[in-house]
This record gives sequence, C-alpha cells and structure tokens, in this order.
Amino acid sequence: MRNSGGILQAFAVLAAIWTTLGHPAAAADPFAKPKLTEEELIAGSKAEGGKLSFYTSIPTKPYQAVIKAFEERYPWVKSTFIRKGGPVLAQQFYAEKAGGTEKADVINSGAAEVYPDFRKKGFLAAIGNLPQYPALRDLAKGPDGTYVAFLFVSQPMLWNTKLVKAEDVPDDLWELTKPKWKDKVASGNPAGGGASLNWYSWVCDCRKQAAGGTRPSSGLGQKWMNAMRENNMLLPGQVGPLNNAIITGQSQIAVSQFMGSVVEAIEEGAPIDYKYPKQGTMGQHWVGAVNAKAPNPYTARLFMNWLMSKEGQIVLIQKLGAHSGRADIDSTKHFPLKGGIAPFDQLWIMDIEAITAEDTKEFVNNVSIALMGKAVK
Amino acid sequence: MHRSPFEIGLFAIVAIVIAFLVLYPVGMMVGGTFLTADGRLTADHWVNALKLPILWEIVGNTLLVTVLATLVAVVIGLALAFLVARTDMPLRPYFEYISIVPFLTPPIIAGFAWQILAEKRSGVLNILLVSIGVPWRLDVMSIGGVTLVSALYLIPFVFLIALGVLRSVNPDLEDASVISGASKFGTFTRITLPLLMPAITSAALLALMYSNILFGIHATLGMPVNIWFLTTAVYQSMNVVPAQIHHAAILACLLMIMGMAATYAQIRLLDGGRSYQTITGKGFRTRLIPLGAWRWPAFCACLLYIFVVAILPYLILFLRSLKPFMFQPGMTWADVFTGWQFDKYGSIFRGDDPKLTLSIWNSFILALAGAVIGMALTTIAAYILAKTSIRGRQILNFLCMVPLTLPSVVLGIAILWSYNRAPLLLYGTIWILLVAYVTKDLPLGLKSVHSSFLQVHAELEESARVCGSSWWRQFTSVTLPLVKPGVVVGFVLTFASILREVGTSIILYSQGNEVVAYVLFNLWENGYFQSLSAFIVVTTLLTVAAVAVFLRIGRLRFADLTHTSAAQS
Repeated sequence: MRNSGGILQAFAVLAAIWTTLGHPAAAADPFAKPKLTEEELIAGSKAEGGKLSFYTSIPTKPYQAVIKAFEERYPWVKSTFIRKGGPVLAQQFYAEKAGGTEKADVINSGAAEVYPDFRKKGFLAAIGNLPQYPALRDLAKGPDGTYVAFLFVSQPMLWNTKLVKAEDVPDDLWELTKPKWKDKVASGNPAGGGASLNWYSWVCDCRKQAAGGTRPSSGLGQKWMNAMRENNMLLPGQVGPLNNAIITGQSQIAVSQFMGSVVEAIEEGAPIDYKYPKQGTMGQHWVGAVNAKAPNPYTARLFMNWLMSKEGQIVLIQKLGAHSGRADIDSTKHFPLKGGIAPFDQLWIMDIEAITAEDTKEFVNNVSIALMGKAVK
Repeated sequence: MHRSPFEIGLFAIVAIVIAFLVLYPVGMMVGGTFLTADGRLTADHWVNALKLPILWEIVGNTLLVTVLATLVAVVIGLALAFLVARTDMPLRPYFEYISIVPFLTPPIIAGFAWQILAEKRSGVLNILLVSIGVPWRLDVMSIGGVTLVSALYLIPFVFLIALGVLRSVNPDLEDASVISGASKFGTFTRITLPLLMPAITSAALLALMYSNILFGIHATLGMPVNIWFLTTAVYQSMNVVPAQIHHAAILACLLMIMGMAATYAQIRLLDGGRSYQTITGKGFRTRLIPLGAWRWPAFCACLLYIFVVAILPYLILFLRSLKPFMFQPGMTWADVFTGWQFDKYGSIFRGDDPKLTLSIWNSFILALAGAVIGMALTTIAAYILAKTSIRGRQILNFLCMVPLTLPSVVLGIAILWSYNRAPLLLYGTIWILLVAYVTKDLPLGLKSVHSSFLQVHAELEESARVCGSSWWRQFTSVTLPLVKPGVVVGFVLTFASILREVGTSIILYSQGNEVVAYVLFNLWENGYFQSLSAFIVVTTLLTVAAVAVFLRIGRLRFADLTHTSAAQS
C-alpha cells in the first residue's frame, strides 16, 4: 500500500505539472485554430519583435514598393529580404531545411513547381486559417492550405517599337517561324529555369493544366519550337537580359516576357510595347508560403495575410502587372499599362501539383532538343 | 632540400587545414554522385550522365576554347610583361597598373560589356563599322568570340605572374650569353625564356584552369546562341526544379579531372626545380633592355592592348550608366553624348540603397581577410613544396588546385551543404563566405608564390643556418623577403578574385552579408543595366585604388628584396 501510495503521489505531481503547463502539443502550435484573426496576428507580431525575413524572386524595385506599403500598414515591422532567382532560392531553402538553419519566414520562389515538394516534405505551415485566405480563387489554393498563388502573371509578346511597327507585329506565333523573322526573334532561355522554362509548358502542350483543362492550349508544340530553332531564335537569358536584348535591338521581338518586367521597363520609358498572341499565353503562378519553422511565425502570417488582402493585392497588381489571386478583384482596373491585360479565363495555368522529377527531366529534354537541337539534361 | 621536425609539423598542420577546406565539401559533392536518395551505392548517375548526346560536344567546346584562349593569353601576357619589366618602353609603370583592370572585372561583366560592344546586330563597334562603310562585322557571340574575350580576361594572370619573375632574372646570365656571341633573340630564347619556364607553365596552367570556369563569359556570350560549355551545362542542371545536383556534380567532376591532369603535367614539367633557380647569394640589379627605334611602336602596341582590354569595355559601361536606355537602335552619336544623368552615381554615394553600401564594405573586408588567410596558408604550402624533401608534400599541390577545377556555383552548393550542420554551422554568417573564398582561391595563392620559391637558391637559407639562425629567423629574414614579389602578387590576385567572385557569393550570402558580386548579379538578372553599369564603374575604381596601394607597398618591398639579397651576399 505504501508503494502504491507513492505511485499515486507521483501521478498527482505529474498531473499537476501537465495541468499547469498545458498540453505540450497544444503549446507547440498556437496556429492550429480553425480561424486566426488579424488582431491575434498583430499582437503576436508585436510580441515577437516585428521582424520579417522574406525570401523572394520578385525583382528588386517592385519588391521595395510592396514591402514599403506593408511596413506603412504595420509600422512596427522591419523586414529583411533575400532576392534570388526561383530555382536558386529553392536550393537555399532546401539546404536550410537540411541543416536546420531556419531563416526564412515567407518564401516566394519564382519556380512555382517547388511548392508541391515543399508541401510533401512538411516544410510549409498551413495558412488556410488566415482571415484573407477564403477570398482567394480555388485555383490559387494549394492542397492543405499550405501555399497560395497570390498572383497569376501573364507572359505577353514584346517588341522594340523603333524596329517594328505595331501593325507589323504578328498576332500568330506561327508567323514568327517564317524566314522574314529569321535572326530577329528572342525568347527567355529555358536553361535558366523559372518563368522562361515554364512558359514552354504551355508551348509544348506536354504538361497538365489546372482547372480541369478547359483553357486554350497553345497548339504550337515541338513543331513550332523546331521551326524557331531553324529561325535562329536568340535565347539571351532570363527577364532582365531578355528585355535588354529587345531594347538594344539584338532581337526585334520576344515571344514571351514576364509581365512584371514589361511594366517596369515601359514605365521607365523603354522603347518597347507588348501584346498577346492569338494563341493566348500562360498564367504563371506567383506563389507564397509560410515556413513551417518560421523564426517569426506571427509576422510571417501577418505578411501573407496582407499579400492576400485587397490592399496588398492592388499594390502587387500595380507593380507586377498580374492577375489577382482573389476572385473579387478586377485586375484590369488596377493594371498599370494602357495596353491592358489578357482576361484571366484565357490564361493557361499549369497544374503544379502534377509535376514529378522524372516529368521535369523529360520536359526539359524535350524543350532543349527542340530549341537547341540537343538534350542537355 | 631538407625536412626538419618543425617543417614536418608545419606540413602536417597545413595539410590538415587545406585538406579539410577542400576535401570536405568536394568529398560531399563527389560522394553524392555515387549515392541514391536513400543512401545506397550506385553508378547509375554516372552511366546516365555519360550517355548524354550533348556531353562530348560540351567537352569539345570547353577544351577548344580553353586551349586556344590560354595560348593567346600566354603569348600576349608574356610579351606585355617582358616589355614592362625588362625594356625601356615609355610610361611602363602605368601599363603595370592598367593591365590588371580586366583581371579585376567579373567575367559576367566582361561578357556584358563585350555584348554591348560587339554583338553582331546591335554592337556599338559594328554600328561604327557600318557607319564608315566597312561591310565586315564582329560577332562576339560565337566560339571565336568566347575564345578571344576569355583570352583578354586571362592575360592579366600570365602578365602578373611573369612580371614578378622577369624582375627576378639575374641579367648576368644574359650578359654571359651575349659575351659568348649569342644574339639578343638567341639570348632571350636560350637563357631568359628557359629561366621563365616555371612562371610560364604556372601562369599557363593557371590560365588554362581559370578559362574552364569563366562561367560569366560562357553564359553571356555562348548560351544565348546555343554554344554550350561544361560551366553552363552545370548552371542549367542547377536551374531546374528539382535541381539535377548529381548531373551538375558529375560535370564538375569532369572539370576537376581536366584540372588534375593539368596539375600533374605541371609537376612533371617542373620536376627538378633546382635548374630554375636564379636568385642566388650574389646580388644583382635588373637592367633594362633598350628598344631603340622600337620604343614607341612597342608603346603603341601596349596602348592598343590597354585600350581594347581595359578602356573600351569600361568606357562603354560608363556611357551605359548615364542613361536608362543608352544604345538603342536609331540612336545618333549626338544622342549618346547628350542628356547624361548621373543620378545612379549619386544614389550609390548617398547610400540610397543601404545594401549597396553594405555590400562594398563587406566585400572589401572579406577580400582583405581572405587574401591574408589564403596567402598565409599557401605561402607555407609553397615553401614546403619547393624547399623541403618531406615525403608526400606534393599532396599540397593537388589539394590546392582542386578548387580551381570547380565551377563556383557548384563549389557554393557543396560548401552550403557542408557548413550547414552543427558543429560546422556557418551558414547565415559572413564566415561561410570567408571559408568559401579562401577555399576557392587556394590555387591562385599557391601558383603565385610557388614559382618564386623555386627561384630561391638553397645556398641563401643554408648560409643563414650556418650562421646559427633558427628556422623561423631564416624563414622570416631570408626566404620570405626573397619571395615577397610572389606573395604580393598572390595577395593582389586573391584580393581581386574575392571581390569579383559571383558564383559562390550568390549561393552563400545571407541577409546582412550581401557582397558586391551578389549586387552585380542581382542587378544583371533584374535588368537594371544603368544601375549595374554605374555600380561596376564605382566598385572597379575602388578595387583598382586598393590594388594600386598594395602594389605600391609591394614595390617598396621589391626594393627591399634587392637590398636583402645584396646584404646576404
């Protein structure tokens, strides 16, 4: 009896500790509630010191405008950022996860296709309970509420207005395969990955599209890519070098360009203009997610929530010239260029969850063979 | 040749440090090519990579451009060094400073500048040629273009290494040849040239291996027109998701094998380094060769080189920095020279973007620290290689050369994965950049100072020992002063190399640890070419100023070297 009394006493002490400290699992995840309020996020952000570490692929100037607007809205927040190309940024995030050095609060890689893998590996926090999350289009929501496409960026054709008259710019991408355009056309280099590579997902018709596959496919395929190779299409690099190739006259027309970069260049007075070919274009996911082990989890969620809010979305649309991730915003009203933007329902949007490593390898090989005449993977 | 217990101990310490710096990340990377995702041994990655249809074309392009660029660089670099070090050509000291300018330029910037200058449709030089009625066009975006731009970039390596050694050649040897009836040309080919062999082979191999990793030039001039090299193939492998890390690592291994072969060739060539020793106990004073009527033609030839290599690219970058969209089609020359805006310079100097200012500060501190640490390690390693008979010392040579064979993006990834775990958790701090820079530039430091050690005759050190000096006193008061030109050159090369290093920087930098190379790459990737050009101009001027200070200090010590030799004799 003496022994059993001792055991009971021990249980009682443990129970008291349990009650005092609360359930460890519950204490470990204050974000497990079905709904979080902005007030909770604000209080938490202030308590953790208002720091935000943002990993992004947004070009520097639009980024600065976005972060300025966010910091004006929440003045105690001081953000730092790392800006890298999508694939390299993803590599960094993987490496940090492998080493347990958690530095990112919010990750916005230009390589949208990394997010399914991040999700499967448990790298991302569920943010489906943030106040602004329900306002997003279904198409913008990743599985389990782990990531969101807060924007969909279109990729129009671009040309040098000093070298080509607007009326001479073909509406049909097939026109560019004709001898008239030999040595005069450029494309983002798919070797650089990211948006330039993903645009070819639409071109090659070899990847699955999201939203039930009802949007227009390009009808271009390998045949068009081969023909463009025969026409010596220049592949100068990613968005910056591609803009430069058109502005300086290395090439006259670019078959596609990241709209954010077009907006920036035109606003600065570059001699370029843009339009959408009759085949349509791709809508590139512009994805954000909160790191599951974010050093500043409240501020991270506050920032994501703001990016999804009407206020944040309008700033993003104005700076990046994209379609909103929300269904209740008419992006054309806030789009900064007079040339307008292709309707959202005309954008071909890839099913990024359907991508596998093997699929990527095959896809890159096909694009490489078609555009460069050789497989490089 | 000797091997005191102290030297053996020193060898052990330096070998362990260098082996760790090199083998740990490289081992992680190479080992990974033989492992499956779940850790089982496999050869599949290699089998698949070697089946690639493009592989042999990539290797062929890489070898072709590497060999041709190295040959061009050796011929021009050696000629330039000879004119500056050994002749009475006018204004020689100025050439010494300016000819290192392209060496201070990140390859990606060299590629960018030459694209503006000599792209076949929009190149400024081609527009100029058309305007004066010349039908012929330059085309820098071709195998020939990549070769020539690479060569221009490699010349300073040859020049700087040959310059130090040329100044150390005792003219008595050449006088003896002339007195014996040999012509000036015969004296040069039979006496001077053989004496320069260690420096020439070192410089050539250095250039050869560096040309392999001129990613920036390959990417800006080759990739847009589908000319592939191992470097750009590695880059592409890292730029898809999921990254083809095994593939990148295997391609990097091929570069490493090429580098190893070059290192082995150098060791074989220089075997018996005693025959190259020219600094003896007898003092001498370098005498200049009068060029007579060839003084001004030589001057003009050097000036042309300087103009093409150093002035023209920077002139074009300076002009590019003055307008948001300079060099558009249809621009007249009047457009080019009017409406200049200096706001991008103002923005840099005002510190409008704190990251730019911070990056300059970080880079200079890292370059200074990296050069000091790197030269300390490689000077000891070179001493052990050249001056001792310790068994197995050649391992230092191999170890130090390994990083030269790795594209910096791959080295960056290897280092990121290696120093990202406790107890070696350096990621997120500025120290990981320092480790990366020191590791990457071990070859530069070693090659710069090794040939200087080979030229120091053992009799000087033996004299010191006979007089009762300790090893430390002999090393610091006799050996080190004699090799100071090589050490200074190595320091300058390492310092500048760190400042322009892009590949590892973009992988390893973290918030608050931004460096110049990262800012350059970011501006380029974003397409902010006006800001990029202004930032290049400013950082290059700062770098040149720093290098000039180091050379100035080095020059004073060159004089000390002569005095020390005389005193010893």
